[in-house]
Amino acid sequence: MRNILAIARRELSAYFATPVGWLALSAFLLITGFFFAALVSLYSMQSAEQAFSPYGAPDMNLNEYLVAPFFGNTAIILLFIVPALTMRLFAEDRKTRALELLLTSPITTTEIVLGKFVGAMGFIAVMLACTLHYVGVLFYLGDPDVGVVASSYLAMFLLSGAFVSVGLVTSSFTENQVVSLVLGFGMLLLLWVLGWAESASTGLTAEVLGFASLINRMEDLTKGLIHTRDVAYYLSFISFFLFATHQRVEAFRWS
Amino acid sequence: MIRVEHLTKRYGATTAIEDVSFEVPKGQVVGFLGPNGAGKSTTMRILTGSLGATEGRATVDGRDVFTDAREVKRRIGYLPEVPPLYPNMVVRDYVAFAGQLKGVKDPVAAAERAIARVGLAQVGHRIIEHLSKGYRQRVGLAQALVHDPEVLILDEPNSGLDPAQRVEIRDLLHDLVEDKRTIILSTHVLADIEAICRRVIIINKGRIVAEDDIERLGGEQRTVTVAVARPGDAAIAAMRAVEGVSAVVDEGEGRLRLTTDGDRREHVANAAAPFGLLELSGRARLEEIYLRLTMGATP
Amino acid sequence: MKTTLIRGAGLLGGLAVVGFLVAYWLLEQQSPQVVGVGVVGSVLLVLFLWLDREELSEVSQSRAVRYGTGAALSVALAFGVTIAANVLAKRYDKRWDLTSEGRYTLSDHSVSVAKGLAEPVTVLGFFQTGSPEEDSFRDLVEGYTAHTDKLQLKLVDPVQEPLLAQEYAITSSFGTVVLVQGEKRQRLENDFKEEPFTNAILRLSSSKEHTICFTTGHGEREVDDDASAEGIGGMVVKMEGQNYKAKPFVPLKEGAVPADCEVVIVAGPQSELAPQEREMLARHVAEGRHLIVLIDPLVANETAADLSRYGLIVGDDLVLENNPNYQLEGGDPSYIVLDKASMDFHPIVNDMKAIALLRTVRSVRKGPDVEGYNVQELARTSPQSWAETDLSFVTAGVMPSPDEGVDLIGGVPMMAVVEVVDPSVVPVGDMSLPGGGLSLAPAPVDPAAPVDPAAPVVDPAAAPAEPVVEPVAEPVVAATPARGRNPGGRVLVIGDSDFAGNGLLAQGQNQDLLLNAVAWMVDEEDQIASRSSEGASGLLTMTGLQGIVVWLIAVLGAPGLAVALALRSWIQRRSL
Repeated sequence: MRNILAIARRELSAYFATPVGWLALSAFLLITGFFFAALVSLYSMQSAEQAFSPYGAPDMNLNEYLVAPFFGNTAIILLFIVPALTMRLFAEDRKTRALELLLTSPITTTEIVLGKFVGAMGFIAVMLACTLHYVGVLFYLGDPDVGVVASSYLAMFLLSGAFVSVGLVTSSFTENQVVSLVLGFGMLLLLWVLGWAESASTGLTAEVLGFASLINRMEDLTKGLIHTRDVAYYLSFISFFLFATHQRVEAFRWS
Repeated sequence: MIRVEHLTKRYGATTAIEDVSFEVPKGQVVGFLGPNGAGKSTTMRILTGSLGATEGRATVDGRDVFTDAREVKRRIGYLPEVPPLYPNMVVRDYVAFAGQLKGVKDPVAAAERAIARVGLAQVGHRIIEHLSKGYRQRVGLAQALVHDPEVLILDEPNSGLDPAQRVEIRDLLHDLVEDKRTIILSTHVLADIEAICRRVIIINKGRIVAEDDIERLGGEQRTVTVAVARPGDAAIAAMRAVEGVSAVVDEGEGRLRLTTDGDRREHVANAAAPFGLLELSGRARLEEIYLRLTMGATP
Repeated sequence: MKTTLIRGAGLLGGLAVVGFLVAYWLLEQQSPQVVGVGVVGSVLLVLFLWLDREELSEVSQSRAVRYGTGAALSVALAFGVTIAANVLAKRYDKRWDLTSEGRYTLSDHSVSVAKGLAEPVTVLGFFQTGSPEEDSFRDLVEGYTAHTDKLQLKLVDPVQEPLLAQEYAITSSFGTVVLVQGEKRQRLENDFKEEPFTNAILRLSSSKEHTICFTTGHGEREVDDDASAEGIGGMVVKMEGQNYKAKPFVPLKEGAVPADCEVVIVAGPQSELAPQEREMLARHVAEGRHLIVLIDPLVANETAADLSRYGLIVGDDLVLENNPNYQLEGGDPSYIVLDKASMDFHPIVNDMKAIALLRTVRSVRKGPDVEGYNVQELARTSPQSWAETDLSFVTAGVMPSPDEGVDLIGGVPMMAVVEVVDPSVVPVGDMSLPGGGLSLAPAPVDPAAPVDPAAPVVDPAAAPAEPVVEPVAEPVVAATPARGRNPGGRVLVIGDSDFAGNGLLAQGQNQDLLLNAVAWMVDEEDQIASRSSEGASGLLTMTGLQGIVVWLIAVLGAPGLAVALALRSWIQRRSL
């Protein structure tokens, strides 16, 4: 545990020591900020229209029309940003040979992998924490559902975890960060669009695709509905890719 | 302290080391000598647990490096050929981080000690990538020393440095020898070995070709070089006449290189005196052994 | 070559086995084909292991290869474990509802209904794949399936499976849900929330089927016609979806309203109902059953005037709408739009949130008070409308204007409901067939039920049709009176029948109007489409300044701060 935290802390501080980390944070905040402001403006316009509608107000729901789309957009932004954050995790260490320090220290491979995972998740936690002021604005202006917001953040965290685990494994396969980025992003995109493929197919295929899609499993969570099967999906997804990374790092000793 | 038995490492079809066995007693400083690609780094990486062996076993302090890797790693300080640095970290943080990984109780204090030990106190607050190459090498050494290991494994600590830096590091290593640690040092710079090591292991093409104390290495065959004031055929003939001299080579400028069996320096000196003996160096030179052993293996 | 073949077979076998496991456990597909794939896959896999055994044992000799194979194998194994974990997680799913209003949590009532299901029910959800309606409906049904295994959800995309959609007459693009239990059907449209769904399950399992009878023989809208704009077949399909049985009948032929008719609908007669037929209907109401009359202007005036016996005055007029907000875009003033504001408070119209669209409407209003009747006008047109009595303009083609004192001006009622509290009040005359006695004896005058002769719009022709009241000593209670409601029947009169025709049925909540009315009459008020506005207080409004501040904070504030910190860190680090 101590070792995991030591590695995690180092990884986290590395983000703040490189332009990549700051760039990712600024871009993330800028894009989410734009979406947030646009959604709030749009929703307030719709609300105003509703208030004067002769046909009465149909179900306008802040959580469904504003909170859920906001987190949906955030998820897509994460899809683009997380691979850029994870590309260096192993690739850079291999390139600078710093990985040798980790491999020759009295720590287990599991601790190395988990440390890097936790470090990247720490940075994502910082990024997500930086969006909390949007929630503050929402509470000031309207009455969002705390439960929905909380489970949406859980969804973002789990989704990011899945992204990081994929990024970790692709980063362990190359010394080149750009290759790592492209590999990671490509893999995530593939898993992401399984959900689109679902609507284009029927029956058994559609069910399997829908079940495996990263995006589909997030939807209930952003509605405030926590399914054990969704949480289990993300956790098992993360575990599998962390395990694959572990095997890959172990393999460095045999290559 | 270190025992290596029949270690073999293959990468697919190519063999990096084959059937390597040796032993290093506690407190001894051993030089690992061999041309590039001979398998020095491979052997060291296997010892440090960062590489697995195809066959054979190795123990450090009686513990198997494969099955008891954690305990072995705790006892080893390792400086790879390229120091394992995080370029954008501050020196102090980096060494403390290494200390944490090695399980040091107070990493910050240990880092300060290690930094002082390698003479980095002035640059402890700086970012590693802003340092000169010699300093970076020292940071690597500090990393290897931070947990005060019993065994120090240094892979080409002098490579890629300019002559001045090289001397600095050599002096530093010389100091480290006095700490009574078991040290394995690999290099292709013979001067380092001669300056620091008591024993040398010469490796070529993945096999150990020689292993002995530096004084004794070379066995019966030794080289004596004499410089005389009046060289010539007469001088050469006189040298040849000395008992135990098997060959004489005229190196020009009055220098003659003699190959002898056993220590024949006294006789050589006597024989050379009539020709105006200027200089006599009789110790077996590592370089020659090294060249002979490694070149000899090449047809 | 041989080894390649064997290995290929092994790989194929492995994939087939994995596919089989996925299909068998995850999707619960147990068709012979799936099992066949599993068997063939296993055979191939075993064959591979057997034929390649020497190679395999050789491979596992050296340490590195053993390790490498081990890594590949363990990753494959981990993948299998991951799939298995997900299959289990899907099987034994639990869910927590974090929403503050418990939006996805079923009420105790719904839970007990789900647990009480004895026979399997198939729920067919006709939705566009991936539509929000589909999602929320799936969430809803999952709430039920957590408590019962009798409920099977099948989501159908009507575009992808048009045959099935046709079989269930799916027309709505927003989704339709059909609950099927054996031969029984329940249909939900537009509203897929918990309450209507639970009620649909209840209705499905309570085998009670209500019979709704449609009079025929007077040019009424055709029950079987679900194609032309005039037919009422579309409405009938919806009713059948609610477990109602539609039954057309000719009153004169039957001699009386059949006893199983709980509700009689007179859907826009073009000619007069025979006086005997009107008496039959009155008797039907007096016996505690129900009547819905949809009557269009200009036709069947005698029949319209006869409705005065229920305390209603049906005008011989045409309601014209002058309020641009309530005029149909591109329609003439005879189109009447009703919205929430037009409706009075009554179970039939309480939950109407969208509009209803009517065409060529006559006024229907409450007559003088009659002891024993509860009369209520359900809807009024806008204050700018009036009921034009001079109908010559229809042929003249000149737009008239309201005539003070003659026309009903402003807020014309055109829909009214009567609850008969005291069935003896209903005047019932001789129902004998022609020849049997068309001569109507004057009824013993019931002082409580006079037809107000002063009513200006009552066709005078209706006046002589003073009904003979056969004193109904004890009201014949045919339908089981429920929940202590009063024993009399219920009568709804709407001054239009076009809204229920196929042509306008899809407009707004037209269909709900009639369905709600039937549901109310047969005491299935829970059927009434209730678009409860759960969590609808979610509006958010900003002032212009707030809007600017939000933009500044979101787009400049936080990212700007991040950039500033980045610069600071960069400058600091540069000198280190």
